[in-house]
Amino acid sequence: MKLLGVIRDNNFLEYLDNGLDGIILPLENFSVDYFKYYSISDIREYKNNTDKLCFVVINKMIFNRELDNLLKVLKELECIKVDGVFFYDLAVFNLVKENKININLIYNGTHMVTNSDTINLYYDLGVKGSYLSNEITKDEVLNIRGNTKSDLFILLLGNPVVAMSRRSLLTSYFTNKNKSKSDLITIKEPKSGQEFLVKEDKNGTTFFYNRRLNLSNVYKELEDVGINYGVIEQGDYSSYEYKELINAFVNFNKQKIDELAGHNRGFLYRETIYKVK
Amino acid sequence: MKRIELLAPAGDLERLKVVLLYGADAVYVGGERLGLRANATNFSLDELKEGCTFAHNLGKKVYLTANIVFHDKDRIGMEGYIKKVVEAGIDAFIVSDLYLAKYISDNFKTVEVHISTQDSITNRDAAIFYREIGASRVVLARELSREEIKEISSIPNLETEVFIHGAMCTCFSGRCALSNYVTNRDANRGGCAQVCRFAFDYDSNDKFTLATKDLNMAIFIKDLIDIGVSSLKVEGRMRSLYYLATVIGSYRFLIDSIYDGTLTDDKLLEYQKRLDSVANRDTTSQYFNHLADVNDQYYTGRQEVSNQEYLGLIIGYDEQMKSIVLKERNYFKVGDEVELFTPTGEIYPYKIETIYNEDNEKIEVARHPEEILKLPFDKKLSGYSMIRLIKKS
Repeated sequence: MKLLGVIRDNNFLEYLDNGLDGIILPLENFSVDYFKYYSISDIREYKNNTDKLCFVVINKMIFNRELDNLLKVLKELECIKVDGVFFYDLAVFNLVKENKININLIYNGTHMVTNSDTINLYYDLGVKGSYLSNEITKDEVLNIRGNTKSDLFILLLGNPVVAMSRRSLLTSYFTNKNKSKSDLITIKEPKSGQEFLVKEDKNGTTFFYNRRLNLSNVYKELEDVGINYGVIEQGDYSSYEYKELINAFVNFNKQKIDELAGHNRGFLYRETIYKVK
Repeated sequence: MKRIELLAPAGDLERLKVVLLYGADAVYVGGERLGLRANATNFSLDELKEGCTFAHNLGKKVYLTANIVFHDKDRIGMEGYIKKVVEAGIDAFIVSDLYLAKYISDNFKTVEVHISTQDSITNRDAAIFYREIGASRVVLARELSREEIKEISSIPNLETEVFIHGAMCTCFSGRCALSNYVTNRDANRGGCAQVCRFAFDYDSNDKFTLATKDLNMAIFIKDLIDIGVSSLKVEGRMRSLYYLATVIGSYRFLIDSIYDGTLTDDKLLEYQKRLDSVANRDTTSQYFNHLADVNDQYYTGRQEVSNQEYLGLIIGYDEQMKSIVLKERNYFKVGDEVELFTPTGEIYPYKIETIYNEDNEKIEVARHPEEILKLPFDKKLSGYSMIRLIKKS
């Protein structure tokens, strides 16, 4: 399994010597659900400085007025020769196909990448990979792996994205309360005790689960069955801690990973229900 | 030019009949599988057949929601189920999963494929993509402005469907798993627990809420007709008969009056008030004229108010007593001023002077929901007529 980082520090190049196979760069103005975004020139700089893998995220909902710029950006990414583009909105797919842009696409449907058939259909349409949803079980992950030729990406460690709104929910909230605004707050659902980070930027508001997902306990199994890429997010780890974490995956040390990241296994063993008696 | 479609929700066969009788051109329903309202009273195959026959006899259509984001195990028996519901007579599937959309489009030429709002289509290229895989219609994201809707609606050979009334998701449809994380109920497989309507702890003095007000587009129906939208959709498969009858009847009146050129400002105001009277939350036009903002949200806990103006469903006529027979829904008493209204739009102001119970005994107060009562009235009214409170005595 190749390991990809999502880095919040400005000095993102320095992590490549620690064993990461590449990094994921959310593109500014065209991606959401991240804490740091990168410009086209950042991406170009990265490609000029390393042969490591470079994936770019374009996962916001696209509006009509953005389509022309999106096409320009996709052509630039083709020139830069990035290794792949994670997309949510099918406008990305349509523009790439219509304009015959030579870019590997990875379907990044957040909560929607949950079954083999749909992944296979995307693959047949020319989408090289799919980033699995965080809300499926381990058995479902294994089943999908067994049923598709698509490259599969999985979040090994990080704060799962829970929801995304076009609304400026924090601006509205603080305006209503006549309080000074914060762009990042933590909220807690009182009955379940579940906490969420709520982050607002110009594209809307994202909810992250405030417990890191840590798949260290199945990392080796996922690697053995052929999950192609594992994503390790920096989150709010310091530079030192994040490097330790990367090392712990590279030289697999489950105890160290768990010590740094806790034991939240997400939905690996917890199937969601949808019919309530 | 094809007239715009009024599309209504129906959680069961009775609601299907009510919304079609009150003026919907088409109805969307959930089946026993693949829908996003797993806890609604969904339609069995026999009910689907009966509903389709009822609709088709009126020259109207039935769409089946199959907009689940399915997991591998949900796939078992899927093809067989789809074949059976096609045979039951449905006119279109509303789907969100790309595989399912293409499978239906490739294999069942007698039904249309409509792409669900679950896919949050916000631009013309995404819409064109779905047209190319066989969809005849896209249900647009609720986050779009007038201009954005207009531009997508200009795409040839693709219909657009727009929500005009009802509850709103706070987040992009399909991009929310709050329910999964808080309640373990799968939002994208029909188990949404509406966690966006919960109040969250933020600091010791206050709660953080993200609930939105509801959508009401009554004053913009003419604009939506003018910009080329094909279908106007009302949300609420689990809403009451009374709510559905009032909302669908009101929009039927507005649409017809716009086409006839007879809609006056006074009438628009009257129907706007009628729609407000059955709403259990405040309403706005959300994103239509500007990005949703501070005025489109709630900042305290749950805001629903129960509506008690629905007094009863008229279920028959007692020829001997020259009285309408009704099933009570909410408290009323002698002296109350009410309106009797019918599916075809007639409204009869009425002051309650006498109430009879099922044994033909006079009573002063109706206080037992579901009780059968009679009110003297010299005219028989059509099935599914209803009574609403105008003024208490």
